[in-house]
Amino acid sequence: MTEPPRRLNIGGMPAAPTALLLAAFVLALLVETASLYTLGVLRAALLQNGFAGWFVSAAIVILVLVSALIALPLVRAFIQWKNARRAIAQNDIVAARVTGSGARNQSWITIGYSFALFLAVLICQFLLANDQAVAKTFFLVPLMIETSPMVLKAFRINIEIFTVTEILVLIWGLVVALAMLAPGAAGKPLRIIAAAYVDVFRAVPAVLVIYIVGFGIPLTGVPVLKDLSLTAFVVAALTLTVGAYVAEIYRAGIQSIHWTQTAAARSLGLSYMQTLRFVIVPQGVRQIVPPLLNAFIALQKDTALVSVVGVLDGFNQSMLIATNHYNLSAVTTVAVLFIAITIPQSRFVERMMQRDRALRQGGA
Amino acid sequence: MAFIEIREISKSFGDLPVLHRLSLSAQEHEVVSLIGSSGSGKSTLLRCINGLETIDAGEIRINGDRITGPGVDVNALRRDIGIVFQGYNLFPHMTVLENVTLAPIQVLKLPKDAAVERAMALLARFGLADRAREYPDRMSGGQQQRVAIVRALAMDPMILLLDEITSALDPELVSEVLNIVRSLAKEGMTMLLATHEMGFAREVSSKVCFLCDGAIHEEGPPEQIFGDPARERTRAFVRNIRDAGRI
Repeated sequence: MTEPPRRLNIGGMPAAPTALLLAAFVLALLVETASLYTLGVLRAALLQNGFAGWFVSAAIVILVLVSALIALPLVRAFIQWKNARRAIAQNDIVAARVTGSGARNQSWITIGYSFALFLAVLICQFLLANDQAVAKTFFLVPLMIETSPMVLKAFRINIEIFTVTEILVLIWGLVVALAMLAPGAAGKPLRIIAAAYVDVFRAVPAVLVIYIVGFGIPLTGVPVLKDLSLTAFVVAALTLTVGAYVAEIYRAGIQSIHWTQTAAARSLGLSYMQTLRFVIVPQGVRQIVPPLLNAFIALQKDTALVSVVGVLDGFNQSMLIATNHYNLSAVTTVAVLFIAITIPQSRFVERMMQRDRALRQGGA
Repeated sequence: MAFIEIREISKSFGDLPVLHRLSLSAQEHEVVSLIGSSGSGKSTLLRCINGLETIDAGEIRINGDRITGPGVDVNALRRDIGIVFQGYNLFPHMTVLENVTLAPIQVLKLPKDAAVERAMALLARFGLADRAREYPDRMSGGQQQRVAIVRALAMDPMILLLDEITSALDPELVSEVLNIVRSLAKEGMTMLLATHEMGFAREVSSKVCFLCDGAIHEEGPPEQIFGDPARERTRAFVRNIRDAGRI
């Protein structure tokens, strides 16, 4: 007597995802209604503020079309759901699984995009709230245009400060990192001093260091030092602060290079310094480019702190404008400028690193 | 006195003794193979000879000069004693040519042209001339290891130490590396090699040393060690190797 052959048990005929499809439909309908209502309010607000013309209508039409895109996955979900029903009726288990899973997938996509659209609607409603007071406080376009030359000019100070500081930090951070790694008993005092410096300057807030150096050094009356410009003081302060972070980054990069590289270099007769210079540091630097970029972006933003000692940078200038006009739109301009300089740097560094990897490893 | 004279050296890493009163001598132009299980101290011995590790007791003399203890200029010592590692340890950020010319230019202070010329001659000799501008990570393990040997040879060493140089290679790439060692042996290069390639050790070496517990348990000509070892532990080791089909 033979047993029947064992069958794979992976479930029977699936059900069509009716409840999920309904939920997606209701959600999409609600959000779409809210979206159309908000666009109506937006159009009225634009017209009321003197923005009239074909481009307003065009923009509204485009926004309506974009918001209507959530219907696309919903329609797909509905078609799949119908197919699933038909497959179940015909007892075709494979087709029922495929179409049922497709319907579920498309329903979830609808729900996901509905939430995203809902968020956009919320933000838009906030900006339009209180008779568009929010939008006018932060995004008063005429004021932004009028004051942007002043803000741009002042923002050049930020660019100058962080460019000079970045160059100094690259050198200073490496010096400190090498001191932290100084070998042997003779290197110990150097290691202690470097570690103490890093501990202190990572602990003290950057704004405090800027304040202390920027106001303090001129007060001391020390010859030569006291005659330096305010910009020089803030560059020195930022170099001291960021240098501590960058030294740690360098150190991590240098220590990430496997000891066999040192062994190979030393076995060829290279000295300790030669090994660092030709073998370890060049490889370590490649490892640290992403965290270094992070530190630099943080530094670029920290240049806004120099306003505490009265340097007329972009932020300081925009604060003056904000006080005069009782409106923060110029500050928004500064924010936009910071975003505009940061994003290209990230992309540039990513591409540079990809190219370096491709050169050395042959991959694309 | 022998060309390489190692007298009763001991070395431990913390509490872990690795070499224990190990003595060994080798003549100039001799090829000595070090065999033994992993952890028996083969690599550490080689690393002590070119100063990558300091020894705790004993001494090493080369050509009569004491090369251990304080005051020895290890950078100068390493110019004359080359070492090739199991993991190649090429510099990945440099091309093959840069790998090979770095030490001749920076340590021997050769002019760049002369260093390049010498490197290219060596690369050509070992069939690597067309790879000179390539980066190590784009080459096979066998090619990388050949470059590592060329890099050591570019310093024109008196002694070459080879630390399990085929252990990380795919089997079909082993012979291209061993062929280089073979031709160096024919030219009379003094070499100490730690190896698991028993057949090769038998073929090229004039002396085979079986290391065990940080000391040389038995040494002798290859026919004796592989054919008729005198001591029990050597016999067991050789028997295991033979059972694994490695001889």
